[in-house]
Amino acid sequence: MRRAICIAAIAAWTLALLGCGEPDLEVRGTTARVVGETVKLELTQGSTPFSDALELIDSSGRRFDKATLRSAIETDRKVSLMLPPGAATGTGIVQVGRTDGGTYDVRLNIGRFAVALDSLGKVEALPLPGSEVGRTEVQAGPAGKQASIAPSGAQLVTLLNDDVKVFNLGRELSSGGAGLIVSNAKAVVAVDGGAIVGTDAQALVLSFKQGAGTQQDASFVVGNVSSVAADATGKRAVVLSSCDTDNDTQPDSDCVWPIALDGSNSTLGQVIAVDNAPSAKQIAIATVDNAGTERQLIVVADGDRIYGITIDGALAPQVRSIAWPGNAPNSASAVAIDVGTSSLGPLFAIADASNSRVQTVGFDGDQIKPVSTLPVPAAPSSLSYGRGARLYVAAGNKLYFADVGASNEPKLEQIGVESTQPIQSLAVQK
Amino acid sequence: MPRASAPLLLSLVLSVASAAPAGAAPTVVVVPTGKGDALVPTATLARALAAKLRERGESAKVAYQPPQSGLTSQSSKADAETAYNTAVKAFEMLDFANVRKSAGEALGHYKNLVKAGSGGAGYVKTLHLLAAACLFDGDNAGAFKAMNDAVIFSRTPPSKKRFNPTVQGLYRKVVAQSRDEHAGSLKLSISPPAVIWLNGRFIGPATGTLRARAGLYLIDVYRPGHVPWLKWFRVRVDKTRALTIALKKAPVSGESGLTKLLRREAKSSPGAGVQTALGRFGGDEIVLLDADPGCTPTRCTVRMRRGKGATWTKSSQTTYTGDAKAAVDALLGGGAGTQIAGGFGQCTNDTECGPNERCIDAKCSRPSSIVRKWWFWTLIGVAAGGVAAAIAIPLSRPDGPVIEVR
Repeated sequence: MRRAICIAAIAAWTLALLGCGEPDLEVRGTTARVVGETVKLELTQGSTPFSDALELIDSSGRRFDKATLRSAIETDRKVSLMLPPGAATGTGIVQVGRTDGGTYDVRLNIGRFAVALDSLGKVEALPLPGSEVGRTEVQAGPAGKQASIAPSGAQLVTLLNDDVKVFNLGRELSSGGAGLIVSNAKAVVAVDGGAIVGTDAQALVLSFKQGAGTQQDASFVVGNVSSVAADATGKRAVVLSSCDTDNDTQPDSDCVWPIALDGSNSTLGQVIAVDNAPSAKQIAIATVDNAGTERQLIVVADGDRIYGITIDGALAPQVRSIAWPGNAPNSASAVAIDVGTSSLGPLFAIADASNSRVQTVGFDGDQIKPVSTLPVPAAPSSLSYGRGARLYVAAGNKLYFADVGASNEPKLEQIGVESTQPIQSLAVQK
Repeated sequence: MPRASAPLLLSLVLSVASAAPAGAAPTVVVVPTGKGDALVPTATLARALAAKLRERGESAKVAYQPPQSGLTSQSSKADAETAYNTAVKAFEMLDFANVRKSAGEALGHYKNLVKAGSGGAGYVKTLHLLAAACLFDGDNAGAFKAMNDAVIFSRTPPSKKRFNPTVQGLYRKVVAQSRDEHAGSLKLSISPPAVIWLNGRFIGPATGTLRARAGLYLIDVYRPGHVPWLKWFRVRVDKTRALTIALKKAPVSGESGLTKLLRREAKSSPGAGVQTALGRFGGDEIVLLDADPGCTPTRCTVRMRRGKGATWTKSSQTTYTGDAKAAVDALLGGGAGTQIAGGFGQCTNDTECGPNERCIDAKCSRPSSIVRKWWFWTLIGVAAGGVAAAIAIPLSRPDGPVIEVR
């Protein structure tokens, strides 16, 4: 027996000597990153270069291909990729192909920020649970109105009185070097590489060009804007304004203006008047596939009703509405709206401050339907979806969370992430 | 770990395994086998004897096979696993409120199962899940509490597949914390005197106040002829938890079959019972402490048997009158005990042998030096080769690939 053990030990030593051909990969640098961030990988040591294969596997096991990662192969030793929206928070593995058929597996922590803007103009990037990045804050201006994150998660646009400012949202919050003073600005929404700003008379399409600052690509006269929204593709936007439909120079209706976004070739669609009282406050839009053609789903939150609008190509828009389930809010209290994606399709969430609740609605064909009502322990001031249908609601300086797509009876629970000041506007990376 | 490390590790393990006969101290398991009222006195002596052996540089521990509790769990394994799986799903959805709810339900089931003698692994993994949820939910105190409860039950680390390095870090932090900086007290009043297990670890006879790491414990109290008493309780930091336990008489002793078998073998020669006990308790050598009939807590004639093979290599007896230290000295040959040499050789310890002789297998003989053994030099060669390889490999092989993340 002892003889056998010794022979085995000698054999093991021999294997140790022979099996030492290729040591394991060493990864250097900052591996705690966030969604939307561009990550560069460089093979600084080692004889086997990169092939053209690249893939990301997130902590839920979902795989993202090269196209989704907006991968750029600079040389056979340098690649870059963007951590895509929709990637689960937690440890993900970037698999870079090797020319010998194997892969280099680089582990990264994919984090996600909730960005809170307070009324005094302070922006705080709050890491959500599972993230390893740190918390950062920036004093953006003297007063904060609205914050919006572009669909890719890479840029944050803030509206501070009349000042539109852009920030890069990497593992730290940094100035994007772009921005514009827009007189009487009322609302903003970020799209990748730009923003749409609504004022008391117009809607402006802005783009932020690398090295060229901010550029105004288009402007449309739409009346006094109360809310603007864009879909996840960045191709479609909508503006909600109070407009004059009987040419007496007095606003008399809530009007929805579709915009097809295409830089300086952006076009304004036919106006849709949804009622005869200029009182609605919030709008959101989602684009879905309807048997091979595009369909826009739009929700407008008004004081007494919630309107659902469907636009199918060139067909006339369909406007439907439902009464608020339970007590109707006063018109000023529909404070925020956002759209998330679930297995049932887009889910629109509307914060109702006067009744301390969040109402979610969806579409069944062209008919708008209530989905769920979620009580909030305090009056909500803002809300935003994160990944999928993960909904975050701000009330005071606290954040509440519910996955509204995962349960028939979702419930908002406070998470241990707080802002230092009451949150005016909340935006979460998708 | 570099790829070469796996075979290196394997060979190290093998080297250590083959080197064990040359130097590693065998573990001695001390088992009290007193029957009925004699269990508590023999368990008291077993604890003192193990401590004495450790003082002498031997590796020794006390063990005793728990009785069959006879408890039927109020929860099924299926109930526990269903609740646990629900908690896992909620965890994957970052729905931490539902993780707490479902993990709490699973813990309730697992605690019932552990009381009935199973479910330990499920109990620990549920605590790991709860700790991770609390940690990610910003509840650091809750995370520490759950991880600490897991650690004091079992040192099994959280699954690396399910939990990220933050949770592994919490586990290491909890394990590294010393008992003294996170401790409370347990004040026990047990009538009649009995032996106890805490979280499955045999403690022995226990009365008065014990210092214990804060956390959740299952206490199992047993005295032959009485109904086993089990309870989950929490020890809090710098607080004293008092437990007053009055055992009820049972119609049967409840003693395990292994204990009965060991008692029979203590009167004859080591057999299947000793081999089973060594395997179950993880020892290389056994010491049995049995008592003559008529044993009381104040006066008890105790017989010691020590061995590992087919015969007892040491046998002695003494009368215990309440001074455990004196009784142990007597049993080990330093006091007023009787050393029994009959039936298994001509010596009981080295002092009875001549110069350069040792008492081996109850016979004085001149031990052959290990430097004359063929395997000794083989091991030296393997070890030297390994050291040389460990130095040479990192120097000779090419540097591994490095990726910079920017």
